[in-house]
Amino acid sequence: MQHVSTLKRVLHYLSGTRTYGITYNDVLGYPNYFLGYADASFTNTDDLKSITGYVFMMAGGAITWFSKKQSITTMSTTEAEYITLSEVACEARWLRNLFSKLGFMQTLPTTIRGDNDGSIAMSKNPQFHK
Amino acid sequence: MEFNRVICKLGFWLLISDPCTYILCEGNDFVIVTVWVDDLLLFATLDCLIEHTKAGLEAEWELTNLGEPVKIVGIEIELGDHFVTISQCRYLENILQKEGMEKANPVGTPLDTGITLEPNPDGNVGDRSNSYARLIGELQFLANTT
Repeated sequence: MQHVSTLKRVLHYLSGTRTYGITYNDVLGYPNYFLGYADASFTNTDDLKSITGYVFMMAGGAITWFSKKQSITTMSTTEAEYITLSEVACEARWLRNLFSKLGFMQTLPTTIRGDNDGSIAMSKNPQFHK
Repeated sequence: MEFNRVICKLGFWLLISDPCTYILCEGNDFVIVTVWVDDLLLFATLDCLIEHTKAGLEAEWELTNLGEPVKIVGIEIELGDHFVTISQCRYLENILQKEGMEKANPVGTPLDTGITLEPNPDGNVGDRSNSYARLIGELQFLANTT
């Protein structure tokens, strides 16, 4: 019955957050601009795989988000975070495509923020951008 | 397919990056139509473009105009002068009420830290007919679909 009590706890949590929502505002500056945040939690699951998480923010609210176990096993936080960054880059590519097709031209590069120095250094290494 | 044919005849394009979205551009103005099963949402920079699109669709089907969107697939929408707020309050209230937990004490996190869930001991036979499975389905809809 462990599963049922876990589910019960989720309902207790939702009971406290039931009125939560997302508000999108007019923002000054670049209205077509969105920003991505990436993070990974290293070997956080039973089978020692890491979890990818990201969120894209626009107009003062989250527009798309994701949290899922990675499909392969990684050996360092840097590796896990680098995989996350590449998944976020795919999503950013899709979002940019979607927005420009909808008439919101993407003239600026999309910023993606990560918190792992190793993976940031890797993403800036020209060797990986041949 | 039928819908696709009609809306393309009106001059709309299907987006490759989101196959439930159609767009029609006229100079700097545009109309966007999003489809969820038999619900449509229309967004346009000009009122006359909305009217034009509605007239085009009404020539083929009987439409019910629900006005400014208040709710779509369980998501409530609140439109203000300079903001839009979306929430799932009523859908959530329904679930809590059905489980008799509308007055449940709130907790800070949805999951205990350090909890390990074991696979179902009685052989992992998928049974989708019980209330546990139904509740899981409702929460998945709440978290993933909408």
